[in-house]
Amino acid sequence: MWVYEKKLQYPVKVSKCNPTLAKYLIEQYGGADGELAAALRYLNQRYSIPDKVVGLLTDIGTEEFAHLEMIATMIVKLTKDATPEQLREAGIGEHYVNHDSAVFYHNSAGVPWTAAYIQAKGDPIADLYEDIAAEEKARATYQWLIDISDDPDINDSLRFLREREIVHSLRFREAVELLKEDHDQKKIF
Amino acid sequence: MYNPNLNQFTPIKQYKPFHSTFDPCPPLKRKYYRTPPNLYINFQPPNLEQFPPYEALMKGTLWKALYDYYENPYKERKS
Repeated sequence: MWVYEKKLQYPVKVSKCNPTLAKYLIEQYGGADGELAAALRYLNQRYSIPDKVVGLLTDIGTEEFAHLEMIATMIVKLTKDATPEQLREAGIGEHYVNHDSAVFYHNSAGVPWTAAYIQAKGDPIADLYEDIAAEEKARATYQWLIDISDDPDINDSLRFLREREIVHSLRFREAVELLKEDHDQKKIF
Repeated sequence: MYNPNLNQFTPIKQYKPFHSTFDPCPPLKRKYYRTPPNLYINFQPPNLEQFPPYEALMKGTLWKALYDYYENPYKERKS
């Protein structure tokens, strides 16, 4: 069960109407290393992982949905009130003819999201190592987005999201350490 | 972005990519990548220094040791 708070995790402000930036940002919405993939990956892995790290997957998976909501807000704000002509000039005419101004789960090249992006191997170490890799890949994506963006307000929110990837990555590494520990077991030498 | 002091730790790493005389774009000179603080902490020790609550909410972490500000390293180059 979830409890929803009707506010964003971090404020999303947009300096100017910039549909091209929305095209780039959708990578973190429906891309392989995006927030949807992260949320679904972590929340699904909970059912086949030792009890002591289930809570961590729940917490981080839930937070990824809060990030997804931030990315959607950025995309909507950047494209809101843009004319079809402006969208075409920004290179998202293809998105307009299929979705109008709706957001959709695809990456910045228009490739639709697929469950093949994520895995649940059932092996706790394999799954947590995938999660660590996912956080680092998302961190890298945020860096490239900050590099390519010229919107200081968007970059402020993207910096917050990048920092969260760093924290999550460490928490997953700590989960691996917890599972490696053997102080509960009887040591027989 | 260039850090000449090799003894001082920086999370901004760099290398010089090979540039051939036949490469059409002007050389990038240095390519940067980041090694954020989480890579150097295996398991967070207790009692680390914290940001004040409001600042922590804005920075994205409670822990000073985990904070890593990011800026585009290629900002200065225009061509």
